[in-house]
Parts: sequence; C-alpha cells; structure tokens
Amino acid sequence: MNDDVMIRCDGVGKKFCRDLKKSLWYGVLDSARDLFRRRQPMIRRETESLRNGEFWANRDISFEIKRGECLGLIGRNGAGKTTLLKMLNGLIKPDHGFIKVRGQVGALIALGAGFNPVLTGRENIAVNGAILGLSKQQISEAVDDIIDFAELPHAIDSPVRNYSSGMSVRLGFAIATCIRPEVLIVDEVLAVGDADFRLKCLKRMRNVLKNGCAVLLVSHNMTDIRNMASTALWMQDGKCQAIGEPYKVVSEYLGTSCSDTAEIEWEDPSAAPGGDSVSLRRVAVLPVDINKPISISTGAKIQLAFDCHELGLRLGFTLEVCTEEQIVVFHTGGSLTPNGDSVRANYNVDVTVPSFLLNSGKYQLSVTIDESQCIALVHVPNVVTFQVGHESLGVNHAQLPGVVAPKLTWKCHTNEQSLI
Amino acid sequence: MSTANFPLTTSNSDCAELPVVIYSPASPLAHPGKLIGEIFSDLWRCRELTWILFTRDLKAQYRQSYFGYIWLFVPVISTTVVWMFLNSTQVIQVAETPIPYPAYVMLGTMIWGVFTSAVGQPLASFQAGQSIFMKLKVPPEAFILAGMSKIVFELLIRMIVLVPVFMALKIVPASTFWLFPVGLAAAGLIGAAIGFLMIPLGSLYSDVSRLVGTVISFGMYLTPVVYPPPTSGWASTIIQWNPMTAVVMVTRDWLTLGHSTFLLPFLVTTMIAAIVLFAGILAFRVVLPHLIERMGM
Repeated sequence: MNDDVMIRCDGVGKKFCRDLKKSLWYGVLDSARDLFRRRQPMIRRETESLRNGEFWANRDISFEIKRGECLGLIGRNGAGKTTLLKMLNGLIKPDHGFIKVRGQVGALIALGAGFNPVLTGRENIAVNGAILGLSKQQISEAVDDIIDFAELPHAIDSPVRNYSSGMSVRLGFAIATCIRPEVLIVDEVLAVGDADFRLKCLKRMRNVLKNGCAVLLVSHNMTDIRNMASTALWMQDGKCQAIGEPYKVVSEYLGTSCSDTAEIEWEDPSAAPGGDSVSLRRVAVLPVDINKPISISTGAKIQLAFDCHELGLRLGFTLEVCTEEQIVVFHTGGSLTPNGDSVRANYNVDVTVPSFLLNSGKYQLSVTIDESQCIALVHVPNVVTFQVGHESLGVNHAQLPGVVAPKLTWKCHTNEQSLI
Repeated sequence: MSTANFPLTTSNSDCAELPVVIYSPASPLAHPGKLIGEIFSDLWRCRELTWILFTRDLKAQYRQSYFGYIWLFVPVISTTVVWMFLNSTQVIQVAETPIPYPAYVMLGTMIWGVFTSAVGQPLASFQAGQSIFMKLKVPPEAFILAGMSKIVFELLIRMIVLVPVFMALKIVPASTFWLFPVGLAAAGLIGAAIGFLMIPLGSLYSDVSRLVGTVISFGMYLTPVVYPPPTSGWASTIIQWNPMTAVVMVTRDWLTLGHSTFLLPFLVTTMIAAIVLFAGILAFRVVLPHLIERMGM
C-alpha cells in the first residue's frame, strides 16, 4: 500500500437479509463458520452467492483515500452508505473483498453515545471521552474547551436528561472532535445543530484535513460535499454509481431526481398542467442546445406560453430559479393583465435573464400563473432544467463558488509618492 | 460566538509507521496468537474506560434514591429472614447445620448470588451497550468487565453484614477465613464462564437467557445453599454430582469450619471453568462482528 493511502477498499461487498428470523439464523451460521473452520479458503462460490432472502447491501465498492483527502459519500437513504462506514470502522466484516486502513480510525457517529441521562454533562464528558478512546488526562485537559465549544457553560452541571436534543448533540460533537485520529469518519452529524454551530463544525473539519487526516464524509447536504470533499462517491442500491470530481458527481446524483430538459411543450391541452381558466402550453429556456450549456456571457431567455379560456382575469406570472441544492436564486414575476382584462387567447411571455447573473451550474425553473396575485391557476415546480457554463473554465464547466457570478467594475489607483 | 482552541496536532510523522489493519471475510482464528494479543492489549488499553464505566453505573444507579447503598444489604438480609422464618415455624424441615442456621443461609445465598450474577452479567452488559457497539469501535469486554466489577463491589459491601452477624451468633471464623474470597472468586469465575458462552447465541435469541435463568433458579434447590447436603436418597446423588455443590460448600467451610470434604471437585471445577472462560472470551471476539451485524443498523 502506498504510504499516503490511508483507506483502501477493494471490491468490497456485504450481504444483508431483510427477514429477521433468517437473518438471525445466518448470523449463527456465519459465527459457527468463523469458529470451526479456521483455515477456510474463502471459496468463491460461497462469497459470491446469496442465500435465500439475502441481497447485496454493498457490492464491488473500490476506492482509495489519501492523506488530507476527503471522500464525500452521497446517495439516497438505504443506498448502503452506513453499511460501508461500519465496515471501514471495523464493526462488521466484509463478505467479499478487503479493506485496508492505516492509522487510528475515529468516527463522528452516534454523538453522545453512552450518555447517562441521570449524570451531569461534566460527568458524561468523562464517560463519552473514554468510550471514544481518550485518556483521563486528555479529557481533563480538554474539558474546558469542550464546554466552551458546546456553548453549555450554564447547563454543564445539570443532568443530561434536562438537555434538549440539540444541546446533547452539541456536547457529543464537542467531545468527539477531541479525538486525533489519522482517519476520520463523519456520518451526517452536521445536519443537527444551528447554523452557527454548523459553521464551527465545518471549520473544525477543515483543520483536521489540513493536518493530514483522511476524512470520509457522509452527508445529504450537497453544499457540504462540494465544499469539503476532494472526491465524491455516489452509491445507489449498494453499488458505486459514480466516483470522481465532487461537482460532477453531485450534479449527476441530483439530476436523477428532476426533469432533465430545458424545453417542454404540451401538444394535448387536456394533458397540460392547468385548469378550466388557464392551461400551460410551453416552457423553454433558450438557447436550447443539448451539447452546450447556456453561456454565462450571453444570458438566457425564458419563454412561457399558455392558453387563457376566461375573460376578465387579472393574470400574473412568477418564475423561480433554484440551484440543484434548492437554493432560490431569484423569485420574480409580473402582471400580464393588470386591469383584469384577460381575453380568450394564447399568451406568449418572453423573459430575459441578463448575462453575468447566474453562475455556471445546473438550475431548475418553477413556473406559476396566478390570478390577482393570490390564486395560483397553474403551478409547476421544477418544470425545466437548464445549465449555465463559463467558457473560460473549459469544457468541464467546473463551477466557481457562489450562486451568482456578476461582472464587477473596478478601478485601481497607484500612488508612487506615498512609498517614499 | 466562542472559539475553542483545541491542540490540533495529528502526528505528521512518517505514516509508514502507522499500524495497518485489514478487514476481510477470513476468520480471525486463522491467526489465534494475534487474536489473543489483540484482546489483551485492548483490555489493557481500556482499563481507564472500564473504571469510568464502573463508576458511571455506580453513581447513576443510586443517584435517584434516598437510601442509596443501603439497598445493597436488603437481598441478603431478606433471604436470611425468610429462611429463618420457614425454619423456625417448621414449615420446612432443615437438617442440623454445623453453624447457626441464619449464618448458614446468609453465606450460602451470598456465594450463590455471586454465581448467578456472574452468569447473567456478560450478556446483560453486552445488551446494555448494544447501541454503542453497533456504532462505535470499542471493546465490549471493557463494558462486561465493568459489570463484573460492580458484582465484586456489591459483594464487598454485603460482606460487611457478616461482621455483626458473626458477632451476634458468636461464630468464630476458621483459620482459613482468608480463603473465603478465593472461593467467591471461583464462584464468579464459573458464572462468568457460563455467561461468556451465552453471549453469542444469547444476543441473537432471547430464548437462551430465559432458559439459563430457569435452570439456575431450579439449580439453587439442587445445591446446598439453604440446607446442608443430604446424606441419603436420590437427591443426595444429584447434589453430589452437581459441580456447584463443591463450590458453595468449600467456600462456606473455608470461612466457618476450616476443612471441607469437597476440595478436589472444587479445584477440578474451577480449573475447567477457567479454561472455558478463556475459550468463551476468544469465541466472543471471533463472532462479535456477526453479532453487531445482526443487531441492525
């Protein structure tokens, strides 16, 4: 193993069984096999085949994490992320392949494990720290910092059962971050806690990475994955669906859950979204080109076409553009018939999105047509998806951080005299 | 917002020195020496954790109570009182005991209590810590050892009761009284051996602990705990062959009489138990990943 590789997974597979009784019985069989067949050559047939009721919770997972690298693990619930983490942490054994881990493994999982509700926060720091493998001396040295970091100076001497769940998780995280492992496994712990605390946690993780630790991060927050991870692995049904540059993998992953077209037209009015008064005909973000994203320097045009079947409505429209992480970039609209004088006709609305507004990336457009600004006649969330690209960043259209990418004007003055 | 200053000092030394662990489907018993070394180094590494867990349980147990440790004396005293009552009212006829009956029962239940607690403790500790073992890599042996320490601690407290009882009943301890703790330790060892063997199957199926519980409560009456061993009849044969008879009798006799006819079976039983315990600890380690796997996610 290369000296810099901290975790190496090679063709790792794990079988699980959904049926409880069968699962327990397989547990007995596996235990007996390990106890009584010491030098079993792991017969290929045995490791490859599934028993009745079993399925692959993990299948052929291979990757490497080096020092200072962070692997972001993404995927829907039940995709096998936690199973993989458990194997990396050495809690359960792979049924196939092998895992090599260099150095001490620490895990930010199950924050506050072993907290006793009757004991005070201070007493629980000692217990939890010891469970995480800290020595008594390390704990007593860090105890003030822990209380400070968890922001619990007032509550620390009251029983933990009086804490809110947020407070006990904060305390758990503060203790857990005292560990100094060479490999850190983080499982969706940033989801809890308030915004301030989240920022502190992210900062702490960056420090850990800077110190040459290898981090494996599981998160459903794609912004965290993009910001922290150097590689992303997308798992689906226990298999590795994609692995590589985080921006690309995250886009692919998010792409599975929304429409993937920049133009949509309803030929059949009865199938179109809408009701008796208004029905949508067409939504498009131009220019449409499957091979090329919309250039950041030309801007885009949003086209909206709908049929109105009723007279005398005060029609208006609203457009909402979201990033893939569902961050709203803008929410805007206008009034089409402000005087309540709609006619039975086909309405076409062209909206211009200026250049140097949207950053490169994938966006989703939601459309609403309303009456008197309060009754939604048509509402289609994420009706089309379009992509904006930055030519100067090359064909990969890697993204710069940020939601918007404005072109700023600046002036630079020099004053040589003042240096003398 | 306060910012804590943790000493972020992950060792940047040559990482080639870092230990490498390999997880694969192979059985750890393929390298038994490595496995044994691992278990004992884990236990040594976790001595602080064991102590902290022990004190945690102790503190937590009596924090929500006014009488606290006084409750520890209650079982010994109540069992003794019940049997004294049964004996004095002649409801149950108990043969003549070599020492006053209350002391006989008290010592018997004390020894038997150590045995039964030691049988149940490993599985109970393992199950109590399940939520931790399935998420964090921590040796469950430390949790079990902490549970065992609790038994020892409670025993020490109960032994204090013996002093006033012996004085009141004018019993003079035999010269071999210092061997009494050795006997208690043997009772605990035998219990722990059974307890460790129970964990693999017992953590998967609740039938095991129920079955063992039933057998043990029945076993108390096949062991001379509250009555002296009968000398005739079919019951005497069973009691003679019951390995716990020797342990209870020898331990009690060491404190009170100074001589015992059961010394040889006592030694044999203890030796076998020690071997079984060692095998049980090894087996537990081997099957541990499979047990954690079946606990759920």
